[in-house]
Amino acid sequence: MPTTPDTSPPAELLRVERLAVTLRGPRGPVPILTDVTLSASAGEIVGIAGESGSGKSMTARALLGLLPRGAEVSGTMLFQGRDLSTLDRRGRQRVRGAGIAMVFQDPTAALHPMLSIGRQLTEHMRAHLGVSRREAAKRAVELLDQVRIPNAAKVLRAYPHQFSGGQLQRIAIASALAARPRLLIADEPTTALDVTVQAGILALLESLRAEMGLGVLFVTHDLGVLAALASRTYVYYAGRIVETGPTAGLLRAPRHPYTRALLEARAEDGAVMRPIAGRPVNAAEAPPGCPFAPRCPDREDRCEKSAPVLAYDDGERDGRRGSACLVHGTGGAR
Amino acid sequence: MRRPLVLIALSVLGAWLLLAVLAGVVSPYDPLAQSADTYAPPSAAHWFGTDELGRDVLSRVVHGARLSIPLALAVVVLALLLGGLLGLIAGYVGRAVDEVIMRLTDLVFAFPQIILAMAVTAAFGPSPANAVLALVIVSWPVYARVIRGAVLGIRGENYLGIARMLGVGPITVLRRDVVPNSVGPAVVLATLELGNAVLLLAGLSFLGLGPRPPAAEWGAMIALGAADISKWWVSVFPGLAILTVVLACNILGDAIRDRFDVGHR
Amino acid sequence: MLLRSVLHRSVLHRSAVLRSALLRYVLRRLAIAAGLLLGSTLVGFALVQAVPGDPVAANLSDQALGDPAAVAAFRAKWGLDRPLPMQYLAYLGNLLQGDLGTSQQTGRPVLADLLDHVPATIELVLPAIVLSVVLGTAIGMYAALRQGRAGDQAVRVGALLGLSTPQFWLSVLALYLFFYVLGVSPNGGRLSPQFSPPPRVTGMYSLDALLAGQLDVAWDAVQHIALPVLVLSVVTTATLVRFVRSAILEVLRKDYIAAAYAKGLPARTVLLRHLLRAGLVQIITMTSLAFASMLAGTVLVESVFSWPGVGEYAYASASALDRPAILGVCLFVAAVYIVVNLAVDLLYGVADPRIRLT
Repeated sequence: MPTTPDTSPPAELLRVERLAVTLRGPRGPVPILTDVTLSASAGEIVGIAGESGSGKSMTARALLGLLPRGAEVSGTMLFQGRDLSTLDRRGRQRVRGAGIAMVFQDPTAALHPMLSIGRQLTEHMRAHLGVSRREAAKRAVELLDQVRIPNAAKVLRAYPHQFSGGQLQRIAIASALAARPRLLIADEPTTALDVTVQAGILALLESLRAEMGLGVLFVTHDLGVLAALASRTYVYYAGRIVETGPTAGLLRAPRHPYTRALLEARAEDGAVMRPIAGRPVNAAEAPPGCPFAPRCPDREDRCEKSAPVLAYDDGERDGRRGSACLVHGTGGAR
Repeated sequence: MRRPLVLIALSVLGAWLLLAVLAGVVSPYDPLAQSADTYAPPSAAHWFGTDELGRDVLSRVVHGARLSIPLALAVVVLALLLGGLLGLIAGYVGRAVDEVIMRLTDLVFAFPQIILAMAVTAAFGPSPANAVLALVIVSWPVYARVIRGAVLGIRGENYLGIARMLGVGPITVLRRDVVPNSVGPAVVLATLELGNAVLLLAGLSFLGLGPRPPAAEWGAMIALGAADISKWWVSVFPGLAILTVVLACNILGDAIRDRFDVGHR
Repeated sequence: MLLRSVLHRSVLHRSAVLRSALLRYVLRRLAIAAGLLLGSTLVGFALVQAVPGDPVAANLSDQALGDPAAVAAFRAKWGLDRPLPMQYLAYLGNLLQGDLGTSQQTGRPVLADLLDHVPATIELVLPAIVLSVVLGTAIGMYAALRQGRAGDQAVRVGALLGLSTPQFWLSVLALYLFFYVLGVSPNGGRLSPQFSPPPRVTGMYSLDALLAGQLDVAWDAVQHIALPVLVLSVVTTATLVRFVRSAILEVLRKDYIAAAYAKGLPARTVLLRHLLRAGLVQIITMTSLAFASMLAGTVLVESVFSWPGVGEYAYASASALDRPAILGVCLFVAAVYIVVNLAVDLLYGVADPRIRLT
């Protein structure tokens, strides 16, 4: 595959417009995601932040077409210009792994305990790229070198239980890259790992972005991790995006009270200092007005009546600031 | 499993219990009365036909409930008592005693139940009481393991330790803490095992090691029917009786297990 | 750099370490099996002792009882005049020499009787266990993948039905339907009267006939096998279906299955390689348990089909209260079961790298 010259603007890989997902519940459909609009380009790391239940993992599953049975999807998901929801089963299968790949939170659970590392690195490579067993093994060794796992040839014959969590996550990343995807979804890839190992994984992702022009959607509950990593960030709450913008500006001057609360809850060393009052809600439990209103320190009466929409500075979207708050809405700095 | 199925299972068991109690009233004939009308196929006079001695199969099936159900209940209750007691001791005393009792359960598990039960009944001589004894001997280990697990769970929660510190005697601790807390899993298990007990008992009788002829026992009746398979009614109806009882027990057991999530062996 | 060297060393050392770990695992399993075997002889001895009344009367046929020399020989052989522990040692010594006592019915050593009956039983149990594992795994996986839908419900009810059916009754029904009504199956036995058994190699008629090139005999033998195999398979299949279903449901929730789908593997590969492989260890365990229940089932099934296997021998012994024979069968089956369990435990090592390599 010839690489495009650096002079051209970064190609847009992913554009999601007004994505909504409902799951089938015992008493009718349950909303999971509401009106999610986001984009990601090649060679860009995009952060998705939110508490558990905010819908960030469901976004990943929707992109891969791996939602539970009975899920209803509306809106568009364009990947490299093609609408994913119009693809048939085989088309989706071709995108998975070879177009969009995924790294899971717990590497000890995401690798099959009874299949060799070599098998797990090469099986989809052979299915997607149509390479021979020998070529696949050669590429697997290269991938392991690339994620800095030594003794690659021996590792191929080993099994997951023989490695530490950090090593396994590197192997999982190598496996995700095996079929040459353009976009990598990393779902809390460092959460289950020791603090000392986390930095190495983050550095690895950054180098893959820089060297391969990989687009990365980095899903996390920890806004601080994104500071040095993601160029842009989306903050999720209750199945919708409440704030977005370039990461630096968003962290320096958060507009939405939820973003602010998230940042204040996090001390310098990453330990939670002041938890946000109240309990996080998911999309299904969200009240009629602003979903954050019950926990919001700046709540006004109107917040409980009408739901705010994500409004962007200057009506533009990409790379701009946007916030879904009636009180601290468009242009409303602190 | 779904609720209607559970309701059906409950009604089937209820109906059998009722039949067992009212067997003398509802059955049209004396289950032991022979007649010249041998091997009569099902008819208005004999709904389920007659067997090789001209006995009414319907009356015998109904009376069979009087034998099978109480005997199976006896097996379950006695096995629960024996297994429960040993499980309590194993879990409470621990160490060497625990080790011995658990190895004993392993040992019994190494024998297929029906075959060990056969050997036990053969050793003591065939009779209803010995059949029950044999089935108790082969089925107590399940209860012992579950009760021991429950006791260990309680010990883990440490209220035994606290009770001991307060200077309460072991008997009091058993009575106040251990027994009430292990009753739940034991009862669930007993329901699950009731169907199994009915099947095993019928199997022993089929082999001639349960209640002896002429007693109307379902397994023994099927053995009579097997002698001449062309007279299908002699074995089909007692078999259906076993099937309905066991199926109802299994459906109930499954439902209860789903609800309480108790492990089985 | 440090990490690199640590990993490097651990990879080099692994081969030596894992071999000793596997050895330790094998030895442990062997010790457990040996303990169980010894324990089962204790059970056997206890049952001999439990016989009320005179063990001589309980264990010798009437004819032998009339012969003072036979009675004396019996007393001497089982050490009946010595204290209990010595009696157990005598019993154990006899067992070690393969002496399970003498059948009252046949007047022959129980072990010789058993060995005569074993090939017939293997001829039923082997195909039945294969059939049950294949059907049980396929149907169980199907139900798990359709959890909560109509297909799953049908499978669950069907499996419960299979579990609740008395095998001996099903045997009678099957014979009635396929022999008496439809006439498509022979009426029990191992061969039709017009054929004589093929020259004995394995003792399994179908196989021996094939080896001797007697195709008509082999086909006749297979027809005789079919019905009892089907009946034996019902309960075992039902047990396996329920077990495989819950095992697969558990695996389906694992991240590595989601990861396999996320890699864009075809559904067939995910099912056959990832899903089945993960459930394999549990399926193997269950198969060994099913094997025991199937051996027990032969006791109830073989007699109906006049199938001269171990089960029929046990049935005949039980009906005649031939105590040495019953006890012999009991110990024999327990020994087989313990050995099969041992084999399964060792198979684990192959199926699960966590055991093989830890």
